[in-house]
Amino acid sequence: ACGENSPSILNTAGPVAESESGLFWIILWIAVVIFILVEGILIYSIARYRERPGMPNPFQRHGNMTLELIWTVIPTLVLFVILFFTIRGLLEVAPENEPAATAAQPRMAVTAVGHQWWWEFHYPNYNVTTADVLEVPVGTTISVDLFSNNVIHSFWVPALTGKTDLVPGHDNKKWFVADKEGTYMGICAEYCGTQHANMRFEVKVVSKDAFKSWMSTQQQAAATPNEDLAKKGEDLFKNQCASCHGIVGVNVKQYYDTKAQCTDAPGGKANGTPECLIGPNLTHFGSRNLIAGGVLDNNTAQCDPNNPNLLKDCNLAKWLKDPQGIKPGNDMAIGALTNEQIQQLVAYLEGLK
Amino acid sequence: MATRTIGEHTTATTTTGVRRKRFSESYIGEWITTTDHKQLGLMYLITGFFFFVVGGMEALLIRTQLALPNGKVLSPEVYNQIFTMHGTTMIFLFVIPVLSGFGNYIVPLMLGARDMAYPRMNAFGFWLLLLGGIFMQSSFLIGQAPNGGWFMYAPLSELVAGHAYEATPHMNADFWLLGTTLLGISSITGSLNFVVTIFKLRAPGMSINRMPLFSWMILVMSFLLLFALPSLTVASVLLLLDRHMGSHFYQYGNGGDPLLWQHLFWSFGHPEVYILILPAFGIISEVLPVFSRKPIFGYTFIAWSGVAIGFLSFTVWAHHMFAVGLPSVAQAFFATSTTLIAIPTAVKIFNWLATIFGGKIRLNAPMLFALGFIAMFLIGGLNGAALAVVPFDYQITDSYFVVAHIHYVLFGGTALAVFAGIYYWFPKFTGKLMDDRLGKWHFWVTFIGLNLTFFPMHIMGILGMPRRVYTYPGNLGWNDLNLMASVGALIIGIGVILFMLNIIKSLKQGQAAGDDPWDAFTLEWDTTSPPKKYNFLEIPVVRSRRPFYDKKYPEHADWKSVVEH
Amino acid sequence: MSTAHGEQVRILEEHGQESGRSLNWWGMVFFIASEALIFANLIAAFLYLEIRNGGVGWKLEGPILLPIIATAILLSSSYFVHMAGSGIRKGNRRNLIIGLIGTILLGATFLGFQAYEYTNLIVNEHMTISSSIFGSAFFTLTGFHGLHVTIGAIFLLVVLVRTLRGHFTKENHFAVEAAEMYWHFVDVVWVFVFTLVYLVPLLR
Ligand code: HEA
Ligand code: HEA
Ligand code: HEC
Ligand code: CUA
Ligand SMILES: [Cu+2]
Repeated sequence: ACGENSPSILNTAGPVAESESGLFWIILWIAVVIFILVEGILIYSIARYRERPGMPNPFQRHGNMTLELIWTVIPTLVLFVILFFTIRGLLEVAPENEPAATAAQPRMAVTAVGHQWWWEFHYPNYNVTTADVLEVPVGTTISVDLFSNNVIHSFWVPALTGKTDLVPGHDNKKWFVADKEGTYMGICAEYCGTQHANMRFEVKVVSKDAFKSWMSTQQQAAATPNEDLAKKGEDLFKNQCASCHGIVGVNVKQYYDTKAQCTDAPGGKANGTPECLIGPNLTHFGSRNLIAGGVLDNNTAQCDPNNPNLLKDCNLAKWLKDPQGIKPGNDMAIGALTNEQIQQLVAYLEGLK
Repeated sequence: MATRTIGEHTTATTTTGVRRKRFSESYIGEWITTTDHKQLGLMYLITGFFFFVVGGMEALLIRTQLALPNGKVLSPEVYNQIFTMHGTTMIFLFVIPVLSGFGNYIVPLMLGARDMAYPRMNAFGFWLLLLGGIFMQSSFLIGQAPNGGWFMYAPLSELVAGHAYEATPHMNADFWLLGTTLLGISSITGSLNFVVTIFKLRAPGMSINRMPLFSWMILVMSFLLLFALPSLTVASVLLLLDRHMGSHFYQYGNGGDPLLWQHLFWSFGHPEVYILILPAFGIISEVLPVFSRKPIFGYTFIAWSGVAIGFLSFTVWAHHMFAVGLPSVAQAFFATSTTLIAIPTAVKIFNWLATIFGGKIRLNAPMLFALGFIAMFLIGGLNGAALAVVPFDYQITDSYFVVAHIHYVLFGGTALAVFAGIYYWFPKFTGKLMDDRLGKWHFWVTFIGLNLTFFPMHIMGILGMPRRVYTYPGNLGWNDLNLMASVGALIIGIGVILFMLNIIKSLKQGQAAGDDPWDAFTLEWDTTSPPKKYNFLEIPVVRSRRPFYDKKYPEHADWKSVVEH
Repeated sequence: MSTAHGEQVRILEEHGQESGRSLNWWGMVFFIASEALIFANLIAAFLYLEIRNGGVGWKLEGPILLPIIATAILLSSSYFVHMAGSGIRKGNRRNLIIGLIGTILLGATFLGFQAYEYTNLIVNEHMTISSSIFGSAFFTLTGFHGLHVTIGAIFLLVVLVRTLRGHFTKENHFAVEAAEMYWHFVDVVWVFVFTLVYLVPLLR
């Protein structure tokens, strides 16, 4: 019953996670055997040697060298067996053992950037940036550069790969391969402040063709709205949102590579410059499933701007109405918007497919 | 407490007959000015238990918030302060004080000494601890309790994290840094005291090899504190300098490194977790033999495995950092050292089993808790061994699986041992027995509650639930398990209330215990209950590991029959 | 401690354990060991940061002569503090006083050199605790040592005052011994700090 929709580490969809989680069963069985043995002796002793009336005093034994040897050596051997699997597995998934690109299993580079509290994914070969969704082709080695310019986050997709931290100042890398198409949950697994609980993302594994066509849409600048409502939305965006969010073709010229530009190291660009806006890039927002680190789903279907219950049904509208109520403490601190403005923004943003 | 004649300043007595009672002779004054190791021991124990209730309340708040998905009881800011203070309180203000409380009270008695080596420093350490504890908790009053987690990772604990993101702009982290520094100084004084007491003040004939195992473990714990705390002090000072003097130790943009914090912290933090368990091992090694009517099995192995754990504990720190991207070689090294440390622990477990095996087991409350300790610590150890499997750790680190591990070793381990110790030594502290029936209730309620709370956390971890989240969505299959854990926490709470009732009841109307209610083996029982100010009328002479047993059963005395190995 | 807890000592004598070093001596040894680890950690942090920033070899601006003189001064103070200690052990109060004064003066001179060095770095080289990671590490490490020298000097000063008041005797002078131990420790630490901060960069 429980755990069907869970991002369980045992529902693996790729070799890296399989190798990592597969160890679970080995350890579990060893642990179960030891558990039964030790608890068994414990319970047996309690039952068998519990004081009864007239029981004589036990023999005063102080120790036994042979026994000591036995119970030192046997656990040592068992532990070394475990250690063998540990080191073998560790090397198997290590970044230096990332498989080389082949025709059957090509390789794709991605940069994962941790923000407080959302994820940015940059595809350097395509110069595309998304937020909260990492779309990748199936059967491809995804080589991830992990980057944070603020606090430490951790990249975790239970079905595909265990964690590696995004440590400021360290060029951590990891890789994984997805064998099965599907959508898998990603989670920030290092405590990173107020909203660490809502820093999820989605890994969308699609066929290689689907990926190509998705990518070609992403590479285009944002669509210019033609309806009135959406046009007003765009103006509003330019006025009120463009200081934190970028939309390619509207307030920024292109996608930027945060990793290359927004560092604290000498030469890094400052926060708030077009390259280093603090909010997610919204260029193709309408095509994403998650809002703001997954606190809400982007339920596009409910977001018809003419829906009279827009504020109740449409999650984007809820978000714009009260981002601090939905995700307390997040960095989107804006003045209140009127319902009309929200309607316009919804029309605009949801149109950005 | 009437006899306070020995050890007073001689200059203080006046020549004329009548004088006013000095402050130090009033009831309160006596507690405040005491330097007696027994009184200080009790004060440590009471303080520690007080903070256990504080930390427990914080735990109950955590569990209330997480009982149902999308909980709204606590705001994220408050939740983060609560879980940080829960861990900090339990570790620094519950376990360490309570264990030093036992150490203070029992070790000199066990060794046949009149007091600790430095009684006044002992008092100083206690008051510093209380000050540090109150200082840290007082941060709640201004709404700025520490919120960086109990290991305060930089750069989240910096004023500003890289690229002008705010991290901890208010005083939250300062409370933690200054507070732990105070507590650290307190622990240093305490450890110096233990080390010197144990090395120098043992009764005649009590060689190191005959000293009770509890003293052994306190000795190892003290060395660990002396050598591990400096890392924490340095880590904290550097962070304070970063926060307030503009240095850059943990700021990557200027050549600093967040991982420096982790290395420094965990080279304290890992020895620390063994600091929290070794004295518990010691308590168990005292209780099991007495209630099995047998000597401890493999004394030498238990003692020296403790020393081995102590040494090894300085070599494993980076097993808390498997996910930070260390080179594979380093990870393999730390996996190996972590694996090695499980061996001496295994040795202990098996020796304990051999101690009860073939004994004559009396299942009084102290023994129940001690046996419960073995059963539960085993689970904590086994899942610890799972955490040491690096690739698997990539999957479960920072998930609730780790929370399960922590609590099986710390609650199922240390806390159960602490209860065993209290039931065992309460008659010595007060001259009264604790109610055994209520004690058994306390045990079973706690036992059920603890498994109900912490076992599901393994599964939550495997189902992908990260730790340190103030809430979680309802559609991920974590709901039932969380609810179970929350109910379990309540049950533990009931257990704690039973315990408190038991203490109150036993203090008021407990059965008189006599000096040696358990027919025990070690010297603390060879004196009155509670012991007189100077502990022993006559310093006993020791000829084996069970001096009091020898005295009571001279025809079977250990020194007649045993060749010590 | 010995008057308030005279009883304790008596008991020890009963045990026949007065042999060997005193309780307080052992206490001091472990205290110093713990302090030494503070420096070990600071040094480790210094090295770690140095290596992270491209390898050993952080180098201060300016000639190394002054630090060498300061080092010589500090190390020679060890002679004086030893003179003080062995003086009182033989009951020679004159040596005790001379030794203490000599140590304090040399210690103060060392601090003077350090103050001069700091001022020079801050004013002329614009190197501060916040100017760079090297600045952070340098000022923290040497500053911590300077702090210990200061504490040691105050300790010695107290001992000096007590000496002048006639507190110490041939048999009873633990405070002198403790101050001596502490001072030696501070000196030895400096050897490590000096090597790390001033000598190692010369090798490159
Ligand atoms: C009392 C405290 C205590 C104790 C005793 C232990 C004991 C052990 N711990 Fe634990 N640990 C903690 C307290 C403790 N730990 C805490 C508080 C944390 C979390 C910190 C945080 O992140 O907040 C932690 C985290 C932690 C981690 C990091 C997890 C992570 O963050 O990813 C790891 C990884 O290796 C680990 C391993 C171990 C091991 C191998 C032992 C071993 O010593 C256990 C050895 C015992 C046994 C194995 C059982 C008995 C043995 C046998 C019966 C023999 C046969 C057994 C085998 C052959 C397997 N611990
Ligand atoms: C010795 C250590 C210790 C102990 C005993 C406990 C005890 C408990 N812990 Fe603790 N815990 C830690 C050490 C400990 N914990 C640490 C180190 C962390 C990590 C922190 C971090 O991540 O930074 C942690 C984290 C932690 C978490 C994870 C939080 C998170 O990651 O978000 C949870 C969640 O359930 C939890 C729960 C509990 C519970 C339910 C208990 C229960 O066992 C508590 C039982 C006690 C009570 C229930 C109180 C009883 C008192 C009463 C009933 C009072 C009645 C009052 C009057 C009469 C006035 N703990
Ligand atoms: C002060 C900076 C700031 C301003 C101004 C701002 N935002 Fe945001 N916005 C953010 C941040 C930061 C986030 C990410 C929050 C999080 O997930 O924690 C965000 C998230 C969002 C998201 C979710 C994006 C995603 O991919 O998950 C949308 C949509 C959004 N903002 C729209 C707007 C609109 C429309 C406006 C103008 C009315 C606006 N924002 C103004 C900072 C800002
Ligand atoms: Cu980002 Cu947790
Ligand atoms: Cu550890």
